[in-house]
Amino acid sequence: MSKESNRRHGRDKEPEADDPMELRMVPVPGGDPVFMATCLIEEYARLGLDDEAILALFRQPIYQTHALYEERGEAWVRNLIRGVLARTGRLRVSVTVLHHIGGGDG
Amino acid sequence: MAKVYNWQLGREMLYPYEERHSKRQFAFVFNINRCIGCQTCTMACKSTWTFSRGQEYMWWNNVESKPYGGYPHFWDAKLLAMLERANPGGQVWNAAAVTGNRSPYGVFEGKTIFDAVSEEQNEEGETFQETSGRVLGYLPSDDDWDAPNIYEDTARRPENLHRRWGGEGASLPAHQSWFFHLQRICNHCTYPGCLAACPRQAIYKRPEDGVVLIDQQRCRGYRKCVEGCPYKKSMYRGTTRTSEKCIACYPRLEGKDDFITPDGVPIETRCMAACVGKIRMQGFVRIARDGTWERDPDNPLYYMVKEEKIALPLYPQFGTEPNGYYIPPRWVPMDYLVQMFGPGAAHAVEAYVCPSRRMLGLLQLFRVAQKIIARFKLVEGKKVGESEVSLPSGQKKTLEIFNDTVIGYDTKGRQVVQLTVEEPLFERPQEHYNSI
Repeated sequence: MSKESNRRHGRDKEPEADDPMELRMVPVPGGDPVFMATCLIEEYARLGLDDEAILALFRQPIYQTHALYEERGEAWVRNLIRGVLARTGRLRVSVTVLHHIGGGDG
Repeated sequence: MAKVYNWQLGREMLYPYEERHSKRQFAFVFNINRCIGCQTCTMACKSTWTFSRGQEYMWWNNVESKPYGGYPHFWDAKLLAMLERANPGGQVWNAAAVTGNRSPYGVFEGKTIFDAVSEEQNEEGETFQETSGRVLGYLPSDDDWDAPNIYEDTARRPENLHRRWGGEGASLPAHQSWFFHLQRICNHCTYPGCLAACPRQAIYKRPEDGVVLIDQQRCRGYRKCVEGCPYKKSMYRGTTRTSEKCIACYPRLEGKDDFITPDGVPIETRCMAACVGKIRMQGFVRIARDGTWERDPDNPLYYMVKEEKIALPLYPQFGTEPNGYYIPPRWVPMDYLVQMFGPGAAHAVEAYVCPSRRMLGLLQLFRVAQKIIARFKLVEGKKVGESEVSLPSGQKKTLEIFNDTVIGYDTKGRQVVQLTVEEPLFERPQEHYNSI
């Protein structure tokens, strides 16, 4: 057997929990990114965001659904948003903050 | 150790001190489903309380990305593993044993961090109780406190990275990833692990609102609280040689400061007030003599936690009876949610996906005003729409939308804000523009 075939490559080694260089992102069994995206679209529709505002969240690299945006493209995402909004609509809420509210700094 | 009753576990458990309760308790609900991880809350807290020397790594409020991340790193996985070692295979719930207010999620049959100290052994066969203290825990290393949330929530590497590095070499498959943001502050627990672990009795719970504080005069910086807090929300400060933690912005909660609260009513903490995603609501609940919550269905927190059971405690099996509650993310596999929030997760998700009329109104009240909303009322209107929703069980339900008005009141009973749900807006898809 050659030296080469004896060597264990990095990809063959099991992850070790105490290795500070260990990759953090590994898949967890179950879950569905498309279902996640659908849920998030519904959430923001309930907050009253329109399709362009929701699409902007997909474009952000730090947002949960950005991987789908990169993998499947903007047209696919637009279509998904349109489909969800056609089913749920956007919830519109009018807010009246009463006059004696005061104080605070934020 | 004394025996105390923990309603989140549905049973008595061991605790170093006798059972006592504050008259009311500071509590909060986070709706995980709407968090985008913008970290505005994190920076609001940081810029208010932990911007000084020696506090560089302190994030009293942090938002971490689960299931991959945590701050300090792997804080929950490490403690779950310790508990599993102490009680192999026994960390289970009897979800069928639900009996009203005293055990709303069933009975936890495993060991808490207080129960398990006499079980967990080191390599020499000594128990944790003999070698360390009264609470099962660990002291995070410096590495564990490194780099909060860095790369945890990066869904994908940048598109051009491959080319930038030369475009050669193996190409790894892209993971189909899902994640959610977990917002964390001190839970101001009913049975705090930090308080139990402190050898100096420097940590106390305020009788007026249950806020947990560290007396900086008494603290000698032994870091037993850092070890004993299961949520790792007590942090050591080298420059003062004392430990520090979230103080629930108590000057804002007290409503007594003319500058901060000129109306004389409690206002939200900095992290809550800064939330742009409208995911947070906080306030106070009245505590009965037996430690359960007094019935108060017009209180938003009581309504969500006790009536609707839509918001759940974080890792209730640790046993500290945390007072932070979470509406679980509905796209996450149920096994994971049950581990994190207990057996009430399935009900909570269903109750959120297709909320009751009152709950849908209350959800609009999240983070709409600076003042703490102590009470809410729904004024019913006519039905204006409906849509079909799919529950995690696969069942379909119809969500009805009403032209309801929800009104929030402050602690003095004055109206703070009023919201009206209007007709849902449907935009005609492009392909049907001319289909009338």
